Amino acid sequence: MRALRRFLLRLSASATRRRDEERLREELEQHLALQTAENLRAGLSPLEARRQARLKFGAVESVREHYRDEQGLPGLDSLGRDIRYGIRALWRSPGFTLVAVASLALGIGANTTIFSVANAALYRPLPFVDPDRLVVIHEQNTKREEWQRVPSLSTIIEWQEQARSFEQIEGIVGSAQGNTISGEGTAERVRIQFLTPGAFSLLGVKPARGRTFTSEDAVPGNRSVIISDGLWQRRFAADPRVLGRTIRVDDISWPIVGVMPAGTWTAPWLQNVDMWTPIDLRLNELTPQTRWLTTYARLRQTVTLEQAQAEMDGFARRLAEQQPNAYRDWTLKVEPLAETYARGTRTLLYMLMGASGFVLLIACANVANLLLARGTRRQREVAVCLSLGAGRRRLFQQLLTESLLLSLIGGAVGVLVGWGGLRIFLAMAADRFPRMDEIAIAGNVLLFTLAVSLVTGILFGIAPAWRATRLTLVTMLKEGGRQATSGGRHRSNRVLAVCEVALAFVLLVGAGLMINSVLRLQRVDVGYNPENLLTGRVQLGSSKYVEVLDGNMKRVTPQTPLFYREVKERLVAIPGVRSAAVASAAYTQPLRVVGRPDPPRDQQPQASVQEVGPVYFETLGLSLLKGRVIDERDRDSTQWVAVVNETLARNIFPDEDPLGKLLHLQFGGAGVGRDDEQPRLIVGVVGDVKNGGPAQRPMPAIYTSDQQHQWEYPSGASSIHLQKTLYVRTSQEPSSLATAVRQAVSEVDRDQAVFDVMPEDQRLDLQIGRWRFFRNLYGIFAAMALVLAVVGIYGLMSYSVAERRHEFGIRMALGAKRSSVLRRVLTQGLVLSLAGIGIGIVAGFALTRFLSNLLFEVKPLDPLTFLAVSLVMMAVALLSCYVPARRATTVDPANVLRTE
Amino acid sequence: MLILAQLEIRPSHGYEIAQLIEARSNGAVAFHVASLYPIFYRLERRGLIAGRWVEKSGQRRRRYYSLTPEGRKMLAAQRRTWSEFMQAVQAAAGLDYA
Repeated sequence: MRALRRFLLRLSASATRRRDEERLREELEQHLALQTAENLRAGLSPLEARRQARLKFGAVESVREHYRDEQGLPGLDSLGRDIRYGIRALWRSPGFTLVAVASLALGIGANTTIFSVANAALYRPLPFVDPDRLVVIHEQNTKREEWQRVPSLSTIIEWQEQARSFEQIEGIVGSAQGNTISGEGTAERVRIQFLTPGAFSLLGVKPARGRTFTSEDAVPGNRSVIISDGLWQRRFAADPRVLGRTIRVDDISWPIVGVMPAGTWTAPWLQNVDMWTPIDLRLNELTPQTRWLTTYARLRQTVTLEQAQAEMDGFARRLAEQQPNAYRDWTLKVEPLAETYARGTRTLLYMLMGASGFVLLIACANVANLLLARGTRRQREVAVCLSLGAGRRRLFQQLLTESLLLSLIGGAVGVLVGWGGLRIFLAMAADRFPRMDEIAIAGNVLLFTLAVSLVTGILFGIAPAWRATRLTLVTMLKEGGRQATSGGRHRSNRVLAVCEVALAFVLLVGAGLMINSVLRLQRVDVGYNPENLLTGRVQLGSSKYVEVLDGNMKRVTPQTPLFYREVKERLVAIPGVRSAAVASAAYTQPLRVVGRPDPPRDQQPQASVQEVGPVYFETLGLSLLKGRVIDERDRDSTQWVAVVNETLARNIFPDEDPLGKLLHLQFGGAGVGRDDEQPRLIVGVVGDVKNGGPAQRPMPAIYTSDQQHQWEYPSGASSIHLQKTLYVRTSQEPSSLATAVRQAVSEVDRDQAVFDVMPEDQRLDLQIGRWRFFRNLYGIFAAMALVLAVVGIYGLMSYSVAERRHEFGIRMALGAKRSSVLRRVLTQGLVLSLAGIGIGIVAGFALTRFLSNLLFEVKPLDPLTFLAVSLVMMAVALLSCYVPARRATTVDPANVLRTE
Repeated sequence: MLILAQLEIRPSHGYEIAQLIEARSNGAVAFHVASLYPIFYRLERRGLIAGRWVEKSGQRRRRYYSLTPEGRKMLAAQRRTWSEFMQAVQAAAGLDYA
């Protein structure tokens, strides 16, 4: 208690210490003056009077120091003194300070940028009530960790009724479905998410207006919607009376019962959902075996994750007993919701954090080298301090404080660099990472920057500070005042420089591999001509185009082909259009080759099937390899035909000519579906097309005529007719015709919307956007690392040349040519670089495998990339050594000898 | 106690207090005067004395210290303690006051 009281007294005295010291000084002076006056009155001379007064007074400075030590906190006082001393020392060396601060700012800034993204994507709590108790239950393959699937509807119902570990279980579809809304205003494509009525209350998300869903809202025919803030603003002009109004989705009008606050989402990759609508698991029109909804649950307060997992393990065993085929190699996993959401991005972000960490390490090595060199120049100062009685610990503290000061200044500037870096990152990243709108430099991020700054300061400051305080004045004097550096000190510098080169090499290799990937992607032949090609998509949904039948079947009406025929005619009539085609979306379907025995269910071949019109192949510029393409001859009344791609021909007819073979397409799933009405005759083979983008591996594909199809389908398969892509080959810049294309569709049916209208080469560009983004980001890190490494090598060589000036002078005095001095210095630099490159190659071999999912047709150990980067590093290292080497050749031997 | 006792009658400044102690003790109590001032500040912080600056014409300002009520109590207590101590020493050493 007394110690605490003493501490608090000292703390309060610290605050008033300056005032008290001033007062003490004044009173002491006054006392001396009075004593001196008395001595003068006693007859002493002024000098003697003052001397006697001082003698009687005692040691003033000692009293003041003792008083100072009694007041305040000695630790804080000495820290304050060290900080002031450090600031003065840094101010006196502006060049060193600038380079050090700039290096640190780059390294810390890069880390601040990436941590901001990681903080929003991985570490910020989810915006739900008590998010730590939210979990996802999914089915997990026991052989492959990355294989997961959602449970069937009947399984979710069973859990809702029987599971004890959860206070609530709901289902949310993990994607949004595109639908067209019409009615007031123009037809618009919106994203709709389906979920069970209690899902919002499970997450703790409430509408800003209106109410959340009840079970009545999920009754088919009585369905309602909650709309997003964006849709409310856009379509309803933020009408406060929007509740109760209806929104027409395809043919059905759904009442609006609520409006969600801006920024509402159920999953980070679904941040632009326009509407939510409920489904009841028991009442919906899907079969109980349908796997569609992700299961979300809230743990009871008294239940741990492990206990919930144990209960679900019991459920998994029962499922395996009841359905052995479906659940062989599958179990159930209960996973925290935050973990589920972070899984996809965690690895990518860790890789980026690794890269930015490398940049920081290089910056630290740079600054450590600079401090070591500076320590050499301050040897005399340190030795004198030690000889005058300064403790080594005290000096060490002072030098370390200087390093920390440097790192904190670097950190402060790094926050600015990080802020700028974040702006660049967000512009490059688009919506590639979850929760991008929550990315900011605040709170956690600033704490992180502070922590990194402190750790960095200790990292690069500790060795130079320790080294500097190992000296003695005797050693200094013995070495004649020359800035003698032990082999040990030089070795430290060299080791640091080698490490910098190695780290920069690894980053450069990473960037090089990604540059290589993007170059290959850009050269990929996608199988068609994307130049001057405009595409857009239409999805028909109203009862005009499709009738719902019993038994989960739908019938496409004659209006559907009529609609698309009229749209195509209008497209062709647009000035600037050379040709237009309409093709269905590609659907993966199982197929059977007529005349071959049926294979086992799990080995039945599948193909991507597209219905196309006669001018499709010509409009897209596909290459015909054999036979013919679909043309006007192919009608409903003639033999149904098919054109296959070369991958299908190779896979299914490896040793025979596919032309003339018959095959059946099936709907409803492998082995359980029904055959198409008629078999199709293969009449042609075309080249592979990469519809999904340059990185897509071609899969077997079949093209059928849009005149030759059945009219009744199992529910989802009817989309093959209802959703089509429009292809418009233009003779001018494609985007200039976008409005005309939209208008053409609207003129045929104003209740239908065309969406995703985009020039095809722009779409291809977007499809390789991910690779390009990582290439650019790694490129930036690699460039920063290279600049820092160059500065580091240049600094080291300059320092080394300055240290060896005497040696060079002696050599040249003894007859060595300037060219040999140049060669000697360059060789030294080259040896360091080669050592760094060697270590970098080994590190690269170990680390580049983590980049493999960011590479395209490039192996992580691609020898050409490693070779190219090695040559670049050597060239850059030689260049950075050249200036100091030239400086070495300008040493005047006479001058050196005179100084000696 | 010595400092508090000098301030019992009237406020004084540091030089005066030092002179008074020396004079009243007939030179027996000797000390380095500079060490007096930190004691003043300690006593002030404990609330036993109060200091204030006084500026008279023709003079530099001086800091006068005066005894506070708590200081008076402390002085009385200290005098009692010293008195008891002196009696005990007297008794133990067989000293006789005249």
